[in-house]
Amino acid sequence: MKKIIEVKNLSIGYDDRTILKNVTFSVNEGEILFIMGGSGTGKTTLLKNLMGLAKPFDGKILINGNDINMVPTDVKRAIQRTIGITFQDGALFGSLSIGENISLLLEEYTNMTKKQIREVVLQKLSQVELEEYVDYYPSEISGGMRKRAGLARAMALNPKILFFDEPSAGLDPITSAGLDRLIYKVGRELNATVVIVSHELDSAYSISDRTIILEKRLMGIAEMDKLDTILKTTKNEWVKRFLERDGLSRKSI
Amino acid sequence: MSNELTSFFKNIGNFGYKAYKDCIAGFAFIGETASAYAYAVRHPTKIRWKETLYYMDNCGSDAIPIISVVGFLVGFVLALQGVVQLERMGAKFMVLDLVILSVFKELGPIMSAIVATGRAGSAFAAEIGTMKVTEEIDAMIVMGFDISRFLVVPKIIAMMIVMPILTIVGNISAIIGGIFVNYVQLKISIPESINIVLQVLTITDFMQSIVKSIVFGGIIACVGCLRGLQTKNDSQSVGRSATSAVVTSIFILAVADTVITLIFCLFQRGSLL
Repeated sequence: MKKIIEVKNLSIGYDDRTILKNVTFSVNEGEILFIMGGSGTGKTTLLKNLMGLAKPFDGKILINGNDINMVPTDVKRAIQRTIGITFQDGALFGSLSIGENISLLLEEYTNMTKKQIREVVLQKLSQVELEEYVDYYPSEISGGMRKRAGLARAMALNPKILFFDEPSAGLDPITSAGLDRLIYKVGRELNATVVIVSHELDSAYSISDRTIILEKRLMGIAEMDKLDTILKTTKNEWVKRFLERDGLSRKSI
Repeated sequence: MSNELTSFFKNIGNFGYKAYKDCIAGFAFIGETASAYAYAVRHPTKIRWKETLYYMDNCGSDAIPIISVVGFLVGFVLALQGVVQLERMGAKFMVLDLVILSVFKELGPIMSAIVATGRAGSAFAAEIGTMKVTEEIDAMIVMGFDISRFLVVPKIIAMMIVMPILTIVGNISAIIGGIFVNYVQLKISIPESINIVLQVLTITDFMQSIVKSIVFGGIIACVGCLRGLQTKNDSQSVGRSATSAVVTSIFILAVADTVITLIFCLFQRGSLL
């Protein structure tokens, strides 16, 4: 299967502080990969590096064979345009309506007429069940809606890669499950390679093809496989505790 | 070496390093903005005119009342003080000349720029800083948008257009203040005062005011945007950026004012001083 994202011997961190060392993995075409781990393990930092928002201390990130930290800025921008991203709170542009947030990409990167753009915007919003909110501003809709609108914007240019940063954070279980279904559906429809950073075990069990679990002590990957397989085979005590929620039950309290 | 001395040198070193990093960031920002500005000049249809008009309205028309009031009061006070001082030399009837020249050459542009820094410069820093905290800037970068073209250029164009207008409004208000003192204290009629204005004011003085205000507009927008983009990912940092935008702008405005004044002196008198 074609490798869309390849991470080779990556070392990353903030300022002078290394968070992850010598991390190597790849993501195949059409695969849904979850990146999980405790707080401060470097999940979001890793995602920022994959997006090209931060530079690694060492190692390579290849997207479709191009090292995103070595290519010229215009090539990097062209690569980034093939990626759709949804941030924790949607990161919609507050000064633009939901519809304008999506049309901005189409105006910039396509030769569509205004009428065609409007049609695509409504189509993308209908995929996330928000077509009636096209003229609303981000501040006028709920957190869950903002995330769905963020997903609609991420899909605007039919990207082949989708990144999600904590998509379920702060959502109730029903909305969270709905968003998982939506991510799965959209990923399959676009045949997109999906990378999701999350703490939500339920989401990972439901829609992931593979999961990477990062551990702070190792400064790297503790486990990488299907989540069921990890649960059955892991010998890493911390991973066991992580997947079994540290053995917490009503009885144990 | 005592601890105090070590700490003293450490502080100097830290200050120097911060200043160096600030300069590098400033030059990088100027380079990116200049490139985006050149692109905007070559492709005017690609300028985000909707945003530009929004900022013109927000930073321009909304500032007219405050600029008018401040301008009038400055002209009024300058004339009042001027009458007392000039009377000693028997030149109290030249008080309006003093107001006109002071306001058009120096006070008008700098006064309008300081008001605009407080209103627009800090607002730009806070707006972009908040976008940074809410990850909107990251989203823009990953979508392949040029931050300078999208966020900075509309603000610079808006400020460079509205600042001369605000300055002229401020200057006229200051002269009205001077005419008022002329009328009340010196019993010079209003038509006679207007006549003095027309005789004293030269095209060069007027142009000096306009050139300064255009440069000041660019400085205020650039510094506000730079400080906004330097915001860290926390809400306190947004406040710090807004404050820093005002302080830095005022310092750079003073330097730019001196440079432009010296250039005008060179052209008018053939020597710098």
